[in-house]
Amino acid sequence: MTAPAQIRSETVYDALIDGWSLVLRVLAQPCTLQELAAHEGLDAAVVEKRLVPIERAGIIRRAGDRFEAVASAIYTPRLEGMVSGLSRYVLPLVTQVVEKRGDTLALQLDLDLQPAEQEALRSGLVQDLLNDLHAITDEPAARRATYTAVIVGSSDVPPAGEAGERALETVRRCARQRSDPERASRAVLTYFDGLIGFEHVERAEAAVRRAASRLEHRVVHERKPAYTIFVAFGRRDAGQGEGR
Amino acid sequence: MKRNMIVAAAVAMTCSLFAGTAQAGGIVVDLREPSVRYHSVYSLGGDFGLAAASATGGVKAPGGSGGSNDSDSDNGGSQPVKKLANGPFDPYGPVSAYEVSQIQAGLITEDEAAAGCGGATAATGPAGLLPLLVAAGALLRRRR
Repeated sequence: MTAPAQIRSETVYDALIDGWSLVLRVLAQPCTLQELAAHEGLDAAVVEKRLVPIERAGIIRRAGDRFEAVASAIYTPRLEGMVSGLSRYVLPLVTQVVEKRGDTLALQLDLDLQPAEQEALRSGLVQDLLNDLHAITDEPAARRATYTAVIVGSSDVPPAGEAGERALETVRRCARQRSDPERASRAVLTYFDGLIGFEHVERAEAAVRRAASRLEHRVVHERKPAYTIFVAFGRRDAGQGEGR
Repeated sequence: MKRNMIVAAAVAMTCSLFAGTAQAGGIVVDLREPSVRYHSVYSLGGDFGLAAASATGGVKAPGGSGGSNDSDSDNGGSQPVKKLANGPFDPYGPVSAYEVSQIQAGLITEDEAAAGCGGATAATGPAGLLPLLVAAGALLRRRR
């Protein structure tokens, strides 16, 4: 179990969404049914029932009395409508930032990037950050919680304004940009969820800051920026990030 | 055996694509990727419909059943077709005039309209996903 998996089927995607918290738990480490039930705070019979579609979809498998993930990480495109996708993944954390709730790290950088550099962001800097976050979820930990990262990049840069409102406007512009075939490849709209040990959260935040610092020399203050990137990392409110 | 093959195709390993090889990791969703990948052609001079050249999976007719999109597509994707003129045969079902206007406005892609995602957008109002985000912003302002 060392390679990431790429989901390409709506059936598997639906199973993933329904069993999201169980999949995250099993991705972090193989678990018995009883361990999963204890983490979820549910009856073992209920959890076992929920595991069936995830196992049938091939996302997890049984190894003795434990359930393990078939891959070290899961990558999936959005296999649902844009509005549902935004509501499910992006808006909860962005709303948290806008409302200044929770302890969320949020950064927005206005950049002077050429189109080719903008296009390379997803496979370069953003992928490096995701790899760092995956690695941090791999660290042993006594207690873990679901931490989320949202990375939004657009060449349709919103005007200066209040930070939260601007983040929301960046999401809107990015979501619109990806529907324009000419500019879609330069939009970044990526979401990460992972179980991170409490003692490793600072490292994860440092990884986010490190990714941002790699762009520091391209930040523009007085000239009109060609690109903006918004990154948020934090623990989603209870009930939103876990137990979906 | 057949099911295992399908699963293997659906959850494809991508070891060469990603450098990270940790034992544990998280889940990543790329929202910018379109719901389905196939080539489509539609003509405003013909039937309002999409003639899909090839489909690689997960394709549903607008308003069709199945998948995680049901609630969305049921709202707007299943509107009656407006036949304006003779046009190409549409193997994946009709796309409503409303969805065509969404495509023209650049709010949804043709692929998404064909997959029923236009219904999701149409259901939120004439400006597609904009009202959702505007409403989210307004809600936040009111809460302050």
